[in-house]
Amino acid sequence: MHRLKKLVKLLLVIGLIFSLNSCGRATTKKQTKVLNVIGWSEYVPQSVLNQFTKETGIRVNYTSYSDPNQMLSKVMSSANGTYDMVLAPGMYVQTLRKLGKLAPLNKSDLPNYSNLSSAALSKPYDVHNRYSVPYLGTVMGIAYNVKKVKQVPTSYQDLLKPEFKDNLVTVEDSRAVVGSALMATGHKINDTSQQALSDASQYLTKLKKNVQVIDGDSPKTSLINGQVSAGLIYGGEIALAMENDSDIKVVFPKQSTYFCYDVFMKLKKAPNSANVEKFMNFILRPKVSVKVSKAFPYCNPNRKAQALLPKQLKDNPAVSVPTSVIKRSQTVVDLGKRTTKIDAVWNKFKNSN
Amino acid sequence: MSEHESVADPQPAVQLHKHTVHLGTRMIKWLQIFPISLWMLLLVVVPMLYVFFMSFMSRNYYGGIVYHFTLQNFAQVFAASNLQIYLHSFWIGILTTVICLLISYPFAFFIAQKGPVAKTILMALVVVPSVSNSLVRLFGWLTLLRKTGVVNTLLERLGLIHHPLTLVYNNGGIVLGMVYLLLMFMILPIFNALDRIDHNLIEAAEDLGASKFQIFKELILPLTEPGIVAGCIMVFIPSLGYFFVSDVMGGGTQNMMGNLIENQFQVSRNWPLGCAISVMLILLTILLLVIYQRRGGDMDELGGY
Repeated sequence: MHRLKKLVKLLLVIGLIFSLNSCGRATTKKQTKVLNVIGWSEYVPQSVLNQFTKETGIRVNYTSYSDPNQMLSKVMSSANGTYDMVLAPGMYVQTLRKLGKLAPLNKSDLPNYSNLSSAALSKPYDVHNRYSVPYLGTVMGIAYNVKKVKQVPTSYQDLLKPEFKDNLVTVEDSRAVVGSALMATGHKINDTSQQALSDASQYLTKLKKNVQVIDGDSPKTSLINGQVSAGLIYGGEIALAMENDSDIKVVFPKQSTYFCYDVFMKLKKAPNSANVEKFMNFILRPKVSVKVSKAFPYCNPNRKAQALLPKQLKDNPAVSVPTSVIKRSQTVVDLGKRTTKIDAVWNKFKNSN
Repeated sequence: MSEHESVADPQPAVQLHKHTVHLGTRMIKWLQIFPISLWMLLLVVVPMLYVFFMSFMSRNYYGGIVYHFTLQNFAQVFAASNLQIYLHSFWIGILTTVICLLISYPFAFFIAQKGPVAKTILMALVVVPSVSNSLVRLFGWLTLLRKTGVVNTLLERLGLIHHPLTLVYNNGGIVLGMVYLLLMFMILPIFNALDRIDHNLIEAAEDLGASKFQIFKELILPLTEPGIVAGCIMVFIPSLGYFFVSDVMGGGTQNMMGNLIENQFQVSRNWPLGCAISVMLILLTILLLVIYQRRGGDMDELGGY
């Protein structure tokens, strides 16, 4: 057995060495018919990438990650020019700028930029819209199964009810969950004062008694298969769950909600710099944007695409988040050193019983 | 290889050129151990030193390392909130080990009684499941045991229960997953120990009038003790590090030592602390191995499969 395992490991290592080798070559060639992107896994449809290649002849190398921290360590540990473009949560505009990694966008190459809804622009992480183009927005809503819930939860406090004992799922995302707890207790999502964090922590300790699953990969699954009756999860995941099971509905807490755009950014010294804007402009085309939304039903910030969305996406509040909800939503910003305080609250939540 | 060995054979004719042969043998020996030494150096020694080195470094807040010596990471290892996690992990680990032992001993005993063909088949059956991915196998358990899973549905249909039982996403689920994945590592060394017992000893004991219980207590148990200890080490240590078991079977709501380390790398961006906890885990492993060796345990028993 162990010999087999060793053989497999050896093969893996050899494969790894070869793949590293090819990475190096791709970057040193400095072709202009390439675009190296690093972005979320399962987030940009392959068909959209293929269409881009077909139209422009530019091949897209998409490196995926499942946690933005992985992206950060990859970008920081590889040579300048390894990646041209990043797709990450908006707050990473601040992070990457502080680390001196971002280049301002060439707006004159982005005629489709005007398609974007103004609600998605001028966010605290990029006030003057110089560095980022929003791709899709993620809202945190309460998903519930109508057949299993006695009373529809309408606030964060409702999730603390005894009827949800061992019946909730949450995402595995410290900023989103701790942020929701902060908003549940009447604080701002980026507040790291002692009072705010202790209130949030108290809320989370109570919530933990009801939480059965914390799932970062596919929180919808435990909702669909009936393990839990409700959950605090991402809008896109809720929409996919609703497609699977018509008993699953979405509601937004009457307090503030977590809302955050994933944005495209251009890295400094990008060897294929011009292709970055070409790709962004392509994604901003209404028809392309609709294609994206159909595959990944998150909130679309493209005004012209919103009008073209199929009816079931347009009518689904988990996808087309109501304006009133967006207005009372809050978005996370980079907290630098203070992130550790959020982490401490999150770890306490994970560890408490 | 066989050619080289024949050269090394001490034949009288070769004695004249003793010196040159000696050199040749040594060269061959070097060549033979070179690949594995390189392997161990690059993939075990260097990473271990790296982890050790990193555990004394400082961090910045974007996942970077600041090359500045500090002992703070080790102070943080023993923070009160972490101690609770270690206690929980040890408890799960001990429970897993005891349950594995209770299942494995009778089972290994049963196999050891069989003929050579049956032995091979039964041992193969023990090992074969590990060929498939362990995550996939754990998700299989979820399908069986969740609220709307096969077991609960069946029990409800039979009218034995009225509310679904919580069989996974709790500590019980974690222990089940651990036992399931690690059982093999307990069965193999115990079986080996049992299989090596000289049957004449048992016959002699019988002839001298020992009861079945006495034979077991005075003869078989002491002779299989090294196997038991080896099995316990090979189950207990991994159980502290299998973070994915608590993620899948515990629903991610229970942090164990492995999760704590994983979190430092993936979420908290605190590599030095992650390394410091790893160093402590490595030291614990070494400590257990030293105790094992002092008590006469055979190191080959731990890795000879």
